[in-house]
Amino acid sequence: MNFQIQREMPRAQRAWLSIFLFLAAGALAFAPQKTHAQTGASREYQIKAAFLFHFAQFVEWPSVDFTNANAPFVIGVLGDNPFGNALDEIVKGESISNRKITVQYSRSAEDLKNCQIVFVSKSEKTRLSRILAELNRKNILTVGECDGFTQLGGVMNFYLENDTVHFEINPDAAAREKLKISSLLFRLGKIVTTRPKN
Amino acid sequence: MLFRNPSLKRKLVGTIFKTSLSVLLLTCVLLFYYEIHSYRQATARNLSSMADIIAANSSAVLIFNDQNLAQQILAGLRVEPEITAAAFFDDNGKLFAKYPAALPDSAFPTSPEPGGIEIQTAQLMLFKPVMQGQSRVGTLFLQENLNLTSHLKVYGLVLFLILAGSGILALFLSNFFQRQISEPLLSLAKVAKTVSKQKDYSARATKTSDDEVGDLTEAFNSMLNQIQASHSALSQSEEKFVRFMRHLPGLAWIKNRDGQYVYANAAAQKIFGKDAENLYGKTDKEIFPPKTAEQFQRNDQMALNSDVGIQAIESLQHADGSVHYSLVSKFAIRGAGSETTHIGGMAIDITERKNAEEKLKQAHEETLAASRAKDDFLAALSHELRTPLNPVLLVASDAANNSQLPEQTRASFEMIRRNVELEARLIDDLLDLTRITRGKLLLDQRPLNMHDVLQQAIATVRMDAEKKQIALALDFRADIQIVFGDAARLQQVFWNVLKNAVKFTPDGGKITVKTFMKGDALFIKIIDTGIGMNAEELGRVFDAFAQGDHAEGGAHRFGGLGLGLTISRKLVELHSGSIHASSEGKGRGATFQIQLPLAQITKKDGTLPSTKSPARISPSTLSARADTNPLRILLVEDHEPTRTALTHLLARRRYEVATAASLSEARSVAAKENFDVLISDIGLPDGSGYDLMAEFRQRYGLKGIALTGYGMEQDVARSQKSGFMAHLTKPVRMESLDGALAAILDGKPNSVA
Repeated sequence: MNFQIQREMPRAQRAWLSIFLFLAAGALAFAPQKTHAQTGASREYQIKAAFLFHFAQFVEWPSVDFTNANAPFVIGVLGDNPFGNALDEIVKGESISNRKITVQYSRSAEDLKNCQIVFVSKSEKTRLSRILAELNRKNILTVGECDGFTQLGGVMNFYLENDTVHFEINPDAAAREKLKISSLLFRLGKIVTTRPKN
Repeated sequence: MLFRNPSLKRKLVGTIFKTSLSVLLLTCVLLFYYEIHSYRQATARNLSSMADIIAANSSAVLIFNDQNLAQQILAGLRVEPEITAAAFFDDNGKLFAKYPAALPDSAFPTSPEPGGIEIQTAQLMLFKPVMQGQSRVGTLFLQENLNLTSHLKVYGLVLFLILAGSGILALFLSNFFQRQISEPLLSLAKVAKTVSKQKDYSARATKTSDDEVGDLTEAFNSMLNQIQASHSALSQSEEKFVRFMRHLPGLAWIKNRDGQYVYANAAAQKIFGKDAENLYGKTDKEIFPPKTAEQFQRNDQMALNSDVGIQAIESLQHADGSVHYSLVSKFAIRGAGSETTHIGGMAIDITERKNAEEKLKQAHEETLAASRAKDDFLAALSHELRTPLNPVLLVASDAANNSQLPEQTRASFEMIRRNVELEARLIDDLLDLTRITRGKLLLDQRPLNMHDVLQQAIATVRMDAEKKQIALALDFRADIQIVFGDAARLQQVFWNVLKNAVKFTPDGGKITVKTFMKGDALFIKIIDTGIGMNAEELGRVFDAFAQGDHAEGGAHRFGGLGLGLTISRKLVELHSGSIHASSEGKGRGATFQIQLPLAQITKKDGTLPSTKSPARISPSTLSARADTNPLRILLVEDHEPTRTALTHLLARRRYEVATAASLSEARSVAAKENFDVLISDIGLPDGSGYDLMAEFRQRYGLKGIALTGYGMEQDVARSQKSGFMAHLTKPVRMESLDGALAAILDGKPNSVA
């Protein structure tokens, strides 16, 4: 019998817990607005920021990708920063495979060639092909938010459906970048293949 | 077959069956509980691993907030019908997805538990944290119906079938295996039954195993050996007993407590006139006449009450009508518990012995009667012989002492007196011998000076000795002469011996009388120079009517019947003394030695004051006394000459005398006058002097003197009893009567003269 549920608590302790939960609930209720206000990011981007962090948890990078054992896990944001400081907040203190996570903002793909994940902002909509070409075969999980991103050779792409954030996965692109994407992600994401160039 | 021998087999089968069934049942119960437990555990494990899989595949769903997919994942549980509810809670604890989708939210926990599995009676509830890396992204909830009932139904049915099958198997197996135990026991029991029913002690059980049953069989067989041995010994002993009893000449029988015959030997069956068939089981009442049966039963009862049994004489009328007497021994036969179970009896016919005894008794009585008749005849004879002597002696003795008569006349009277006394002596000797022989002589014993007694005896023979010019020499040397004895009888002894000495000593001879002491005895020797005796004569000198060869030629020469020495020896022996005769041969004299025990009187000089002869009272003294106070005497005597002589003699002594010849005459005389003394004969024509004495003593207070020819001891005793103060045996010397009268005057009885 492995009852791990602690059902019994002293009465006073339970009362304090109730109060705490009440306050916590209130705090959570206000948290989005507050976060939104502080981070300057919409709810959509907060979710997208969280998704970016969580993608790191479901994807394996080839070990050669890192320069040394202490090299950080870097998430790059290419183009305009839609997250405000939301992404920074999310990865703050987190780590992937014992590597600290850092966020690097840049407008040049060249700068982000050493990142493990590169988010291509909406602002780069017109330069997607060139960016993807630059980041091609650099073991980088490229995540876009514009329609056709994955068809162009991007690994993953956010899209909205019923105001909910979803994502696509291009397994060919992942394989090309030597990324092993967890089957769990595959079940969640819409599978997309690279559109051949004409 | 199964229960042919119910008890033992059934018990064994039952025991084995019950044991196995109990064990099985217990096993089943344990199995059952174990199954419940393990089923729960297994289910829990199953659920837990299912949860692990789902949770591992659900983190992304929760992370990426995909409710649809979450529901799809949960919907996959459809294949597990036991899972009744499932749900995801997100990291905020809010219900995120549920299964079945139709179930209302209220059917689920409002908030997730931290994690773990809760096993309830009918269901399992599991909370599994869904982790992504180190962080908890949500919680999986699973609820599974244990469905214990249906599961256990199946399981129980299986168990029951196993139980039933095992039970039946156990029943058959136990029935099979119990034979190993029961069969040796049953065969043992069979043998035991055979032994007890058919008394066949030769039967033996077969030993089939080396276990305890085998030991039991061996013990049983060895017991049978012993029983067989003792049984055959017993039957041999019984055979011996029966044979013994069959040839027993006496009767032997055994009755039970109810008095029924259970055994009677051949002799008993013959005498009872019943064979065994008609006798056994019957009581005495059914066999014998009522009186006989009563007699038997009374003795039986006495035997029952006695520890050692009884002996009795029983009479039984035989079949031929003759009455037989039996000496019967009856005894109780006791059982092991010491209570009486039977009465044993044995009898021998003593009819002949009894008849012989009867005859013997009769003969003895006849002999006694004859002896009494002889005594009576002797007494009568002595009485009749003495009676005529009585007046002669009275007159002669008086005349011999009468100083007024001339010397020559007195000598003649003296001669008459001596011969009358000799005649009386002979008669007395005859009576004495009879008395002594019959042990009826009574001694009047008192301390006596033997020298005095001897002197008096010598005085009686002195005259005879002088006549034959025999010298009498006295040599008294005994310092102590006191003997406890009867003076008259001892004087009689000495007189007899002295008289013999004088008789057998020729003229001019010598008689020496010696006394001396030796030890505690006084010895008296009387030595004569007479004709002596040879050895043969010495041998029978003390026998009655034996006077030696010399008597053959002339009994008249020596006179006497030869009773004196016989009586003397008996008298000495009555005084615890002895008498011996010795002689150196014919013509060389004889010596008689008398030994008497000295009385235990310690007086310095060893002498007593000399006893005066009571007879020596002179008539003149008496006359003087009579003058002053004349005694009135009533004389009752039917012998006329004696009466006349006595009257004359008493009157001469100045007594007043009245006479009577019979009881009636005496009574009429006594009625008219007063008397002081009664002198009476005993044998009177119309009664006895004893009766007269008793009557007169009571009526007039008279004192009396018996004057009779009956001199036997019992006569003297009876005389004393009736009140006579003196008993004088006829013939009476006047001196004796004078003494008795003097004693009466002194108020002292003088029983025997």
